[in-house]
Amino acid sequence: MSAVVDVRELVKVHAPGAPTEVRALDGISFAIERGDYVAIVGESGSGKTSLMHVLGGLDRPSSGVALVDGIDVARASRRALKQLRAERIGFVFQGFNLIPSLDALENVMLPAHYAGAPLAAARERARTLLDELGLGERLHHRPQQLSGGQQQRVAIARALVNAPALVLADEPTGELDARTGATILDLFDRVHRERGQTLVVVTHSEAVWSRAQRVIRLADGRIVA
Amino acid sequence: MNAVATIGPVLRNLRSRALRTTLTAAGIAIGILALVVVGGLAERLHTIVAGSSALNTGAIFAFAPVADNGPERGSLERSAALIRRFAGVRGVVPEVILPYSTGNDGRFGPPALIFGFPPAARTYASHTPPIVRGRDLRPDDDRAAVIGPDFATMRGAGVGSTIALAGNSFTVVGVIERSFTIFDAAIVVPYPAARALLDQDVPSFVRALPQVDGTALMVVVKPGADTGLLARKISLETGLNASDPKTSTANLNAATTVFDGIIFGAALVALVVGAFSIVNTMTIAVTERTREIGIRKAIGAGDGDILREFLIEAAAIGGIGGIAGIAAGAIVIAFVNAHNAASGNLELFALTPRLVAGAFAFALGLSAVAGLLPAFAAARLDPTEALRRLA
Repeated sequence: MSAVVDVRELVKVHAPGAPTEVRALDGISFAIERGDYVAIVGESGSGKTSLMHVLGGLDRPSSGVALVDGIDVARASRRALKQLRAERIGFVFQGFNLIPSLDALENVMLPAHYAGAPLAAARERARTLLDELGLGERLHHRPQQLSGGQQQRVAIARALVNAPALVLADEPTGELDARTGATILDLFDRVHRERGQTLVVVTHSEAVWSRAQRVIRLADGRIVA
Repeated sequence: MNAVATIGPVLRNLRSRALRTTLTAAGIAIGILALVVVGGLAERLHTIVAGSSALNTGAIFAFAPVADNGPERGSLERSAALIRRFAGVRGVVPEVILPYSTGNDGRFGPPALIFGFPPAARTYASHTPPIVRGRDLRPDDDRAAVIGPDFATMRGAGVGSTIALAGNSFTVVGVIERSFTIFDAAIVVPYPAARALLDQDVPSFVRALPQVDGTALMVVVKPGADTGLLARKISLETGLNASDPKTSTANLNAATTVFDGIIFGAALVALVVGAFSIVNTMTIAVTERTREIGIRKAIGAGDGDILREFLIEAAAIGGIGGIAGIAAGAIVIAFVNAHNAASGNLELFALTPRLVAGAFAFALGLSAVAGLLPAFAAARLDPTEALRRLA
């Protein structure tokens, strides 16, 4: 097993030097092996979102090392970070965050398009994934024509379409009722089990983190458990 | 999704904000409408200049000056004999050119003129445009005429009809093809008949004198001859008013260029106003879709992808406005041209393929340029900042 995520002495300071300076991550270190299912938990302001942004290649750390699938997020070029996000990371957001002007199939095709996949191949991969996730009949429905659970399944398909090294999910059941949320978590379990997908779920919900193999608990930017 | 596949979602985006899109596209449409209409006017002007230049190629036209007591009898024939001896002259043909009507014939465009050419004129390339209906004049024709298409419409005449010229009846035997030249409203009659009309037309004290041989000379020059030099020599040695066709064409082209500049400048102002509305609309779109931009970046979009998507959207607004403006311009042009054609007047506008293509390309290009600034702002958005606005 090789580490998909390798974080050492990671520090992230927002607005450094300003009166509003915030030390969101304060020298944390951990590793996530390929195939792991990890939950990052903590209260609001604990540094969960800052950590997710760094792991997702959306933000750079102030100091320390953050290797994601071998790419050093602190030192990678803007283009390399774009490639990292397009090809090696899959995001699932709390509010589904599908593109409203695109139908389900197009939403799922989008990361493949950004990763440079040919149109036909992207369409085929997206169609297969949506079929697998039980949305074969909803390919051309726009997000507003889908239920919350269906939207989140489209979002999961979108995260998986490029077979990423790491899927980052931010409160994936936050806007779903308990029953639909459980269905989505079952789906995560299935994706982890059947595909061997490395999953990192950021949450403060016990229903979510109890499904993970391992829990990293953050408080004030530090790992406390 | 390549650029083509992006069009569908872009159009859906625009449709979801139908009112804003319509108003913005309307701004572009008004500018393009102005561009198409004034461009149509310029295109017609170019056609007229090109047609006139083609007719004048290789010939100098020298007109007899009118003296205080009328044209001097026999002077044109003497001048012709003199000019035939000039180096570079291939031939000299007298012409009769008379106004069809002494007053204003109410026509918008060049006046209707009566022409008479001797048979020798047919040996030179420079003559009337081709006959589109009926036949050309024959040497044995007496009271026959071929007429221009505008004259035909203006007088309701066609092949077989009879027209009256200074009280004399002429049978129309042919109609000249439209050329957007002076021949569109012309009546061409046999040379002897034209000379007879000239005799009839000039004052009685002049008519008593013999040998009224025409009103102008067509001096056909040899290839490579210096027409400017020849025109000056003709003017100097014969007293005729001769003009160099190259100078005339150059003057016409210069006037056309100035005209083009003025009218396209006016249209450009209208378009720039439309372009500002695109800047405004796209800036609002970027602000509204900050969250979408953040998501797109999170799932792998680069700055270039975002830039392209917003530019395509701006160009699409321009494209819609362009199509609407061209359609509106085509309707205006068709309406005015049909109205003019029905009364035998000059069709003022020419909606050419290059004008349509140019106007559409301009609408797309200008809109894309107008969208550049907001698109850059979108492309440079920090994804974490954009995602923070999700909450």
